[in-house]
Amino acid sequence: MSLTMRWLQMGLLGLGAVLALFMAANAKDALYQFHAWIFFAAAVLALFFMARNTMSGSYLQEKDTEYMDKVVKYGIVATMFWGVVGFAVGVYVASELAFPWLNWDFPLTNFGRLRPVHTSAVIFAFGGNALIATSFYVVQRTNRARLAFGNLAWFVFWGYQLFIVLAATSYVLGGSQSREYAEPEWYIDVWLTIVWVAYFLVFFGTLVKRNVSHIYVANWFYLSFIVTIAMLHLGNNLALPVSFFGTKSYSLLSGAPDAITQWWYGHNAVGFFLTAGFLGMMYYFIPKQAERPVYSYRLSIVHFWALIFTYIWAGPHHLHYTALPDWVQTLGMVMSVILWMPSWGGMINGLMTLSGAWDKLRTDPILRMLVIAVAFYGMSTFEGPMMSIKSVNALSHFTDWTVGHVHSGALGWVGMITMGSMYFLIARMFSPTGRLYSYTLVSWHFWLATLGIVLYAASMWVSGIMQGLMWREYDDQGFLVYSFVETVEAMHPYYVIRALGGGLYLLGGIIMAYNFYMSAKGRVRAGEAELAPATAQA
Amino acid sequence: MTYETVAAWAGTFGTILVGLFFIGVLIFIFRPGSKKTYEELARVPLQDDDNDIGERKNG
Repeated sequence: MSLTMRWLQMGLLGLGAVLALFMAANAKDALYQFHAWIFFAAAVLALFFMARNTMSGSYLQEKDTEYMDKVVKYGIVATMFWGVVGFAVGVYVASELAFPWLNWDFPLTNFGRLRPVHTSAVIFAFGGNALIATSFYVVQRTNRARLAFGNLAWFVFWGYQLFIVLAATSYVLGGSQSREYAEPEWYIDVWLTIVWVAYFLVFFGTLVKRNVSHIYVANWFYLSFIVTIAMLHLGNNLALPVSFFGTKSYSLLSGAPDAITQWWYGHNAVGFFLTAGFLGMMYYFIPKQAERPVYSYRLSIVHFWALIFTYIWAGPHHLHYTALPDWVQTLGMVMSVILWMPSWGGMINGLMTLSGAWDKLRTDPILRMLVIAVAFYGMSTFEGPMMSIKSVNALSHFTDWTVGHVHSGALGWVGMITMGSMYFLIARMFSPTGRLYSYTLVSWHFWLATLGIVLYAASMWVSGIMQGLMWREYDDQGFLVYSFVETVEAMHPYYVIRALGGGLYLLGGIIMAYNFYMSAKGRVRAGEAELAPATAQA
Repeated sequence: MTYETVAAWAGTFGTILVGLFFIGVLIFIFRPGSKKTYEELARVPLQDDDNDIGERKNG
């Protein structure tokens, strides 16, 4: 990259810093001002590091004949960090539900403010960083090309971290537009849009300059995730700020159209962020770790098109028995049930990739993690369509059953496929020995996490179905048998079990962080040296 | 373009077009003589060595 280009980029950062100062000076509320200062600090820091790199000339050593791996490595560290943070906040809010005194009667630690910190931290910070890092890794490897547009990949990485910091600080300080999984206010949304366009350019640009004729299927899934999230983000955040120097904004839509826009976004965040993106991971890292080709490439193509055609319609099942037109509810239900087919087709493709290598499950804990992820994918994509059927939903909606379902997908599928892929990448990219510090610890992580999910999902099934049945229990006079608070009281033991399950999952994450640190230092756990590295070089 | 025209179009031609596209995908992937191509493509993840940038030798 030329020196002129770097001057141009530094000029842009300088302009950004001036704009942030201008925002801070005119701010109408404290939160906006605080965020303007964060913007300013980020721009100045970026400017400083860029100037330092330019003066030292280290950027001259970057060659187009090498993969751009440093940004992937940063992404892996960020995934690990935000993962542990997100799990810990999750355990805390779960404990708040079991023991309400943990709210401390203090706004900052209130459940209502901490919950979006947990959801955003695990979905967008942990999951999002994992997606960005692995997509950058996979797109380079399968297309035999270095990431396009030079430093833009770094902008994507740091810009995304800035988005996370802005979102999290906004929640605890009380800034939210009250749209589930899209809580950040308008200016944070604008920032994410800029970062996301840059992400698209880097990914798509790399596809364009590829050195192979065919674009491997994992890239299709990643690309559909990037494009669809851009569309959803823009559609769901159509809002008018009260002032360009204030936090508050109002949605352009109201009533039922506003609600269905939110759940069109919400369910496709599940479909394209938490599913399509991670399927991209599945189609690369499972063949890689099992050292087996994809079971059926034809099935992967059918899987892709069927999945993206169907998922986009499933959102209305979040709004059964509401003011939403009946036919829209039925459409959402039918499309959700149809989703069984592509989901299970994909699950079969992932699992059967192990054909001829099933014995590796006995010796390779990383592969075990990747495979149980696909098994959980199958379980939660069976449960989801069932819950979207109106008569089932009448019982399950607004209960903990939904929460349990989400977590069997999030902890089981998203979490396990991510952590399996991370272990693969840690051994390859960080460890000087080419292996992990300890495979026994990976096994521990695997069992702690699995046991945690079992406790979580099972307790929420019992609690959710009990809650639903108590709500609809009438006596022979036609009166409701239970008051709301009686249902809350009955759920207490299950809330304790759930917090315990989450705690085990968090413990697994901490063990992984330790294993990561020791692997990066090149250490091998005593007594494990004679074990062959599970990640044999292909 | 009113809501009614969009809804009517989506409920008829839109559905048919999407259905035809999907059938087209099925026909395309099962086209005669493609078995070998797909077997090779299924091996793509196994072919990249860590720093082997540039043209792929096979496949």
